[in-house]
Amino acid sequence: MASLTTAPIEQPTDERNPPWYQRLGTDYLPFLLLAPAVITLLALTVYPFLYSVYISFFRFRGGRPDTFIGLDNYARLLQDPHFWESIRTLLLYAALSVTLEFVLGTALALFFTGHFPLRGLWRSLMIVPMMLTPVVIGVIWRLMYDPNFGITAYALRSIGLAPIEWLSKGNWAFVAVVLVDVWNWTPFMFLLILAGLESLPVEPFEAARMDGASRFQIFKDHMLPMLAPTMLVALLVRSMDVLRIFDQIFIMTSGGPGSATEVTSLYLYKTAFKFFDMGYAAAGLFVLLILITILSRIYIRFLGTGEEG
Amino acid sequence: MKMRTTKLLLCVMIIALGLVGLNRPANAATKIVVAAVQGVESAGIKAVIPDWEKKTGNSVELVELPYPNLQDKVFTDAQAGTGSYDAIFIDDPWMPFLASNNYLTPLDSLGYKVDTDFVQKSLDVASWPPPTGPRLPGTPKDATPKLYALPALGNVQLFWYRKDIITTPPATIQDLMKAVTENSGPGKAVPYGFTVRGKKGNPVVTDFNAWNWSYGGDIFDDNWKVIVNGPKSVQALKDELSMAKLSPPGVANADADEQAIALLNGSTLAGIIWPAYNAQIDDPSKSKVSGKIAVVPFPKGEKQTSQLGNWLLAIPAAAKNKEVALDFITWATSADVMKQWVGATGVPPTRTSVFKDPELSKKYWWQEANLEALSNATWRPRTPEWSKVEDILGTYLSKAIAGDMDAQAALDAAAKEITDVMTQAGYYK
Repeated sequence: MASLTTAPIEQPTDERNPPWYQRLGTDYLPFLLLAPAVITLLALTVYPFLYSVYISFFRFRGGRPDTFIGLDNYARLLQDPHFWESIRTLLLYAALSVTLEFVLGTALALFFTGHFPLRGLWRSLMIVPMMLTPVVIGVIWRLMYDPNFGITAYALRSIGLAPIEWLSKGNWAFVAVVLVDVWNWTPFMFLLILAGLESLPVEPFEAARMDGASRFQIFKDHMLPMLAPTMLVALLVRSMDVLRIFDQIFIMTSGGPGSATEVTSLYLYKTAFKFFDMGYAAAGLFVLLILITILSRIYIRFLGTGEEG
Repeated sequence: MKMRTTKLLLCVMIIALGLVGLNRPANAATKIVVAAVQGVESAGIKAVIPDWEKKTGNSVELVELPYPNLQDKVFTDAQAGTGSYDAIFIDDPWMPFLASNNYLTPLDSLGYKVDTDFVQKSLDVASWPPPTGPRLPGTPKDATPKLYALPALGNVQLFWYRKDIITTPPATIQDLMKAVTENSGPGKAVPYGFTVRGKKGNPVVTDFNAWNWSYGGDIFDDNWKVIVNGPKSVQALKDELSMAKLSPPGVANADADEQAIALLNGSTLAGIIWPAYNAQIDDPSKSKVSGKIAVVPFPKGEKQTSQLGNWLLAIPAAAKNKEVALDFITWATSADVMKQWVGATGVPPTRTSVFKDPELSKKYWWQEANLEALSNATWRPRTPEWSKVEDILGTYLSKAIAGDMDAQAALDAAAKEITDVMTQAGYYK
């Protein structure tokens, strides 16, 4: 009969199971090293996000949360024509800007796959607009757009045309701010798509060329499908970014004339920091976040489809 | 090896913390932090700060910010109660929000006694509740206004015109409109007659206020009922819009800088200009019309007035060094010191003795006009809701200037939204 007693459990020695303070350098070191970054991230993103959701349920008076009002701020948002007008302006701005940046960026990237003198220098110059800060861009373009002494007015006069009051007429003001965004961020699209192009294998294109395919057919039927994931990533990143636009428009037009260029970030900035209606602004920002999340889900679905295809 | 790395990291952290702890000045005098608006408005005071530091042994950290950023930071600091600033430059329309929410320190609580050398209008806008005009609902009728700030700059809208072309000074607004229409345009002395400040928000509202009040109109009556779409205000806007047609291109986005440039470069006959630009009139590096511009109060409509926009020096309720801050602001706005920095910059003072100083009056020939305009000026409605009201009015005025709405429609739309704001804020029973 086997013994029912179990063999005595061998007690671990200090060597194999050192105390916790001796394991700091082994088991816990990675966490210790990550801790400052994680704590900062939590403090600067997660906590503010949770706090802003919290205050969105309050009415503010004198810049301080005053009364808990539940979903009243959200109900007010649904009926606020200015908020929805700003959403429409923002979506139109995003659609136009990103589309133009994408088309121009792709065209430039294709052009730069060729070889020509000083290609490296031109490529470096191409990305300069992306390096400038938004406030500087806003100030420069506000001056350039001035119909009295701006360079755009000079250029138009020199070809016999009257200067355009870019920032003074509603429709023109909208076009003006879109153009600035395109100037600023086409280099971003250009860089990403160029990187994608340069990573593609050349053999399929050579084979297609030998089979008599035209350059357009090679681009459409071979290059484009292979480049699609890169393009979608570029579109996703740029779209997320453009929905946060603020600085340039603030400097150039402050959302005017009227509300022609008042995008959502400007409207909510005004609500939070001019009117001190923080709860309402927080509710608006949460709705904007939902919108951006839905958009990103659509993009990611396309990305996933593309990869499976 | 890993144990050694951990020990090394811990040692580095301890040393770093120790160095931070040791880096404290021993027996430091008090340092106060002053938030100021960037530009000529604070340039004078900035220049004299070393004198105060030498006199008292204390130090000043001057934080200069553009107007919109200054408002953001001051309001945010006040609301959070962080006490980042010991003294702040505030624009007078911020007073209702800050004072009514107890974000400022009443100066009498620090032992300050009112100095009657300050222009009365400037003292009035630095007080709360307002000495005249409608008060917030619920304010006791016998509530005595307290002084919450010291007036630093006596800003008020002035009227510039080309005296070499308009040789008879326009006494009334109708005279002004006739003169600029007759003397500007293709083939005339100058291409443009009048420069309107049309940029959305505070700029366009500021210009409109001068017209509106001069015509006898207003934004609210004494019971806070919105009257900005009344016949006098509509007429004021119509006339202003007719002047906008005589403005240089880009009027719907023109701000104070563009207005001043339009006059200083000789292309425009007249405009409502803030005093900060006066010193540029005779500066050949900035002006092509030195000696040719007259500076006077805005001509008379039903009454003679324009908008007041004083800069005040206040002490936040959460300030950490209130007594030292009071000493600084009292010194900075004293007659001798004010004379010094007004003398250096030409900005308008807030003391009668400094306005009338013979030396300064000779150097800055517009001071008499500034004092007259300040004495007749109108302040913006004293309500914490002013930011919202100004934004709504600014949006619709901007649409009117851009030609997207006519005067009546713009003011009707503004009146409706302003009424909604005041209703939500509890102004109507």
